[in-house]
Amino acid sequence: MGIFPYVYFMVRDFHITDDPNRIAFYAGLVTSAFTFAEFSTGFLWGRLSDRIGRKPVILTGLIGTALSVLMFGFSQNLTMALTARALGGLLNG
Amino acid sequence: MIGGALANPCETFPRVFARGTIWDQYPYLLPNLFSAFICLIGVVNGILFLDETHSALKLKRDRGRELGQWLASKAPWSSQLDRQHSFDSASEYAPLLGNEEQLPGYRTTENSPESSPRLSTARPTSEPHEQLSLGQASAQTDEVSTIFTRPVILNIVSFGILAL
Repeated sequence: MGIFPYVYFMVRDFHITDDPNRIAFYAGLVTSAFTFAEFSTGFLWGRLSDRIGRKPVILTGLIGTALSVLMFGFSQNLTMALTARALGGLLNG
Repeated sequence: MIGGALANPCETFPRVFARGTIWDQYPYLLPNLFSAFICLIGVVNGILFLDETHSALKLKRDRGRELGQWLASKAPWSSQLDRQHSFDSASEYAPLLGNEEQLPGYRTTENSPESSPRLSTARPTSEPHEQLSLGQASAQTDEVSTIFTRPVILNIVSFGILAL
């Protein structure tokens, strides 16, 4: 949600392709990687929080989100950006 | 919005972020750094002040929470916060569409049982029905003011900031 303004320019700066349609495709891929990963693991986080409590899961989710967002800022190619976003969705809880 | 404002800082704020530094090599670092910083503030806040809500694990000893309470006791404005905190915790669990007897509990600064809103709602429930039939307009304004309690307003503000 927060990366919508600049994700297209970021993918363009990766210099994968010159076709704007393809750039837009990869930008959408980066954006949806986050939500897809969150969709895959959200249920598991809920079950884990039933076992170990709400507070540890919330805090690890926040720390994981912070680290993945930092990794996304440091990414230099598409693979790293995708991984960072997917990791962010995975750890978001 | 903040993401767009902080992206590519070497071009948007050339005086503050010089060329050739890390901001030039990683142009999209600044908004993500800002987000990570906000997350870490939330982590520190949560460790110190977040209560466990899971009913079975609520009684487990929480060292972070103890540290938070120790820090709160050290703060010079802590005595005022203690009164505020007891009022807040009572207002969180008290019924929203309550009867008029809740208001004296908000105004007093003592913690006496007579002024506690929770005990005052133990009175017979026939009184709210009478009040609703008599003064609908005044009851509605009271409902609006009792709906927007402090936790509700803080939640609304934080969601608004999240949209940025």
